[in-house]
Amino acid sequence: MSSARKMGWALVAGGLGLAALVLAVAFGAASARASTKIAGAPAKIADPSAVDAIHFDHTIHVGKYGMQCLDCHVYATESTVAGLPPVAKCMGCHKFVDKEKPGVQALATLWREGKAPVWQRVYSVPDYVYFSHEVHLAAKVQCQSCHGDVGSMHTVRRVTSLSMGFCLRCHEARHAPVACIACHK
Amino acid sequence: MSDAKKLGRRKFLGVGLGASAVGLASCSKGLPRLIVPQVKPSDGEIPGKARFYRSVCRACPAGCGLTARVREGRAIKLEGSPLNPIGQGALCATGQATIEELYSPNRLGHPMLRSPGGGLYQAKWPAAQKAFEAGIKAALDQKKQVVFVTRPEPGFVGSLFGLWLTALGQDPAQVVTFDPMAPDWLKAAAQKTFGVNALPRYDLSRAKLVLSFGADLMEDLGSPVEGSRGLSNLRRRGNRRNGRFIYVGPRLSLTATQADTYLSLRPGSELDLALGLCRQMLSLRPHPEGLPDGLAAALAPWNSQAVAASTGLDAGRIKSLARSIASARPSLVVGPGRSSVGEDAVQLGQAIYLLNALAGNLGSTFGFDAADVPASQAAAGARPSTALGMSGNGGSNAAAVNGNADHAKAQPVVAMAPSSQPLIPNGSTPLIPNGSTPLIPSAVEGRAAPAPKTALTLAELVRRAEAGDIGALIFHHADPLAYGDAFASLGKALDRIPFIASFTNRLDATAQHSHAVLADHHFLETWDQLALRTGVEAIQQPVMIPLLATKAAADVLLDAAQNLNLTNGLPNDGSLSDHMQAVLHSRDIQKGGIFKTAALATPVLAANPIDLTNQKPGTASDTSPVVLFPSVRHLNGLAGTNPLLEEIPDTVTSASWSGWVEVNPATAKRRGIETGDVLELSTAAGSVELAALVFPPAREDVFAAPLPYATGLLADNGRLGGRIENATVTKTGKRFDLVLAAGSFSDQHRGLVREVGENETLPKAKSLPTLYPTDRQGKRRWSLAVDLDKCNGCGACVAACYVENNIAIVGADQMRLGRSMEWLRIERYVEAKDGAPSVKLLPVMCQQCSDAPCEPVCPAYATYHTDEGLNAQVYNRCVGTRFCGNNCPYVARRFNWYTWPHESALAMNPDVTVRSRGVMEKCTFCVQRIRGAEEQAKMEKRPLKEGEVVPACVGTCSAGALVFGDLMDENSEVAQLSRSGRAYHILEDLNTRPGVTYLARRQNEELE
Repeated sequence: MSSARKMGWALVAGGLGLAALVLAVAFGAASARASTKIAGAPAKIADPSAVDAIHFDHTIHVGKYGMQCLDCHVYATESTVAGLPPVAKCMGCHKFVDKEKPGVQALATLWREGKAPVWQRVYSVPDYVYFSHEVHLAAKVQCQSCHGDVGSMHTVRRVTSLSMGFCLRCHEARHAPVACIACHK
Repeated sequence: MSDAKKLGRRKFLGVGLGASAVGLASCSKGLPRLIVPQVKPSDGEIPGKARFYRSVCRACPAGCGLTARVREGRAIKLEGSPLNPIGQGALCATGQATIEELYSPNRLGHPMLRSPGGGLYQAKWPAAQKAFEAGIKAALDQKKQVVFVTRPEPGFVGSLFGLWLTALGQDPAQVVTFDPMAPDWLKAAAQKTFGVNALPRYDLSRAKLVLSFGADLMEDLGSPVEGSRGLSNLRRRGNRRNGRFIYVGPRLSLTATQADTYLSLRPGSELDLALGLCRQMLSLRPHPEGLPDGLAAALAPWNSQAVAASTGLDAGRIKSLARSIASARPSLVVGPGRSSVGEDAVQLGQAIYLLNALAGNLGSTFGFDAADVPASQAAAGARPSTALGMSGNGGSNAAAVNGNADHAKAQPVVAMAPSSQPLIPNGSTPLIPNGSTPLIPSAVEGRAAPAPKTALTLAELVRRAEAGDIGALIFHHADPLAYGDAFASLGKALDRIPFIASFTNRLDATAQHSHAVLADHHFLETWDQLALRTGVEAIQQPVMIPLLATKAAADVLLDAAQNLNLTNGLPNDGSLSDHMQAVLHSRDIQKGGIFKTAALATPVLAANPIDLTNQKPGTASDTSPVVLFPSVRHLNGLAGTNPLLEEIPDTVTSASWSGWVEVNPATAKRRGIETGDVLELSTAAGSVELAALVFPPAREDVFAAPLPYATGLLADNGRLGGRIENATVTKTGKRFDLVLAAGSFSDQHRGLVREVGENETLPKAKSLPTLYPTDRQGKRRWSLAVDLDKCNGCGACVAACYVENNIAIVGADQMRLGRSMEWLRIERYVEAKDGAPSVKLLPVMCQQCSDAPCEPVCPAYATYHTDEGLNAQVYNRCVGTRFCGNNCPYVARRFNWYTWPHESALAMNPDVTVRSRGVMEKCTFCVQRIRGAEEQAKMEKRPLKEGEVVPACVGTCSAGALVFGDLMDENSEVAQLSRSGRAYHILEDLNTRPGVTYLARRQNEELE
């Protein structure tokens, strides 16, 4: 049986390229596995040196130039996940803007090579929790309620616990559903 | 409230379990810590949102339409496509389980080549392509033949074989269609009786009486979904009275369990019964036109006494059977099925066709596909038909589908279209009503041009190979060597062929004999267009990017032609995908094909429909034969290719993971056989060892074994299964622990499966007092109705449940310990009424009790009652006391004894937690789908509509036996059914007030 498990991961590795890319972008697609086994596994997909290779600064994009969350995290209004912008989106501006800066040059190199930067995850809910950005935004919950004032952070850090108590305090205050299976899957 | 009370159960547990909670927390490390964004956004893809693609299921040759649910580029669940007239929205268990094969670690993900030393090694595609071209070129240089052996390919890829051979300067007829489970005897009989070389098609929905000669419509005969739906269509609907179903055969099969009357007859005497019925029909019904004069005289010896003596049936019973057939207008006689065929297969087929003709069924319930009946005969049947068909024309590209007049675009090959077309990413896509299907010129007739009128047979292939005429043999998803000795002569002939290539998904038995193993895409990853039958053209589109380093077979062929400079007549617009996208209409791709209604064609009796010269009744052999019967879980006749299908127990016997031999208790007693004794079955062809299963419905003079596990008994005649005479059965003295899910075949007189007469109702249940609060019900009560009148135990719901809910496959050893994880199971209870055995089936899932015994015993509050009537299970709260499982009278809860390995993380449904060790799990009516539909409605600011929530089991039920909805909505179908006179709950006296309502099976009148 353990060999079957190993084969499973061999398959993940074998599916490199687009399939793996899509998997990694899935924000929990792979998480459906028992969490103990899945943790760390996708690191096999990515080149470790690529992680956080670019320093992305929200204070410049949001704080200085006033970009909105939804400008880049476009799926938040229509899906469970908010999504990270594809490299193509970054290059939409950076083909012209700040081309001389080393971070932007690193991005341009990745773009030419058809690669994407690999980011460290800051916010996550466990595998057994169902969370939908779409529903929360429709209920007029502000991004900042959970993610804090990202526009003032040079490096994004977690400012809320995302514990069940954190969720429930808000749900109770807003008379949102508090049944277990509203969130537990 | 006192302070003591304030320290409630939860707080107490919080303190008590606090220490261990620290440990538990470390078990759950959360999501992968890295995120890789896309480089370029893929068109229309939204992470976290499912997309739906229509395609066609290729797990068997039937061609049911499917709708693939795709998340983040991975297909995770297949549903039926309601637009496709074959599947009509349903898939069978095999179709549901085929997604396991897509992600299976046993899938071949790279090409392999044979080294000079003889072994196969992993190769890269350029090398494999070169090796393939070299093999073909060598054959061409030596002026030898290149031959294909392919699974039924009634479409573009199939037509490409002929075109490719033509381009190579070869005869396009050098294509053998390998469909081992195709009932060839039915075709051969049709040729003799009607001059039509095709399988008949049946319409059970109109028949008032169906008589089956061992024909297992669900397990065999090419279209399990239509078979299952056909059987349920026989049951009452609206004002239609119940049709009667009579099954005669040597073994109680799954299909036979659905019969109102099961007549167990002496194996081999089916022909006598059929001819005896023909004889009586001559006097009971007006003679059809064109009946040969001598027929009455020829049938004279088959009087009821002779037939009774031969079959072991009562003479009066045979007469009443004949009268019932004659008076039911129309009736239908189907068969012979695999269990009933021996050496006399073709003649039995002829007798059955003749019986249909004499009973006046031709053109009403019995007919042929219009394309199969010669134009001179085609008296174009008058009605549109969604009839039960049987794998069309066998699917050979050679069995040309004649172009319809309105398909008038001269194009050499079947057309295709722009890139994969998703449906609107939302389960409730409005369906285009039937009939408004616009016709596009799809150039189906293009296939007819290069395709030969007569294709090669396997026997002819073997002859040519032995003569040394064949230079290269190409297998395409055909694995003849896996079927024991059934194709042994082909196996031997392979040594005479210098180059063998194999397009396959697995390193199967035949691939292991090949020089080049060319890993093909899974059918969910590639294109095709299939002309399945008149009026049904299904489009197969890729629903995801190929997972592994595979290459489409068509592309290997096209590239080879290009590199060999032999492209004359081949499509010149690039790869398979390019070509398909160039021609097909996106509108048709979104619908999964082009579907029109087509009438059954009425055949005409040949001058001499059956030859009975020198035959007399009562010649069946007296020895106890072995009957190898088909299995609903192994449509291709092969065991062991899909772990999910191995794990799901056989509906009738509850056995899984291995084969068995059914032995009658009296025989067992006489010969000292017990369940689990290993028996050796041997025939002239070979022998096989299987464990005995003492099974009351088995006949005393028959040893029946499932064909997929007994291929060792197959003789080299190409026929799989059926009656094998002159078998010896010996006890080996060995024991084998058979995996049996059922602890007992009896319901211990608890009346779990109830029956009512044609117009009766059940007595009203007594209302019992309850100690539970009665005011807990919110505005909704999710509820399921299970109509036992329609359920026929096909098991598709069980497979669908496994796939949708990430249920673990635990294997034989754990199954023996009773650790099966199935949330939805089908129980069987064996009964005997007046000596006639019967098996009653009961699908059991969590009953979602209003007063649930499981809930109050949970110390962790992990299971609780929602205000919508569900017994919810919060997996991460469960600490695994198993109190709830212990207290559940329905055994609906399953405990994870281990963190079971899953074959692939990619196959998991991301909307459902994968449970780990120590957690109790159960059915919650697919709560993730309820939540999804509720959110969808909320986002669209509208109330939830009836029919919007479809649990996985309900969605794939071809019989329409499962109805899901809100019980509080008085007009919902489920509420109406729950009020009906047939409604009851199982174990009603426990007063659990379940949310699952069963509807009693209607009993038809028995034969007198």
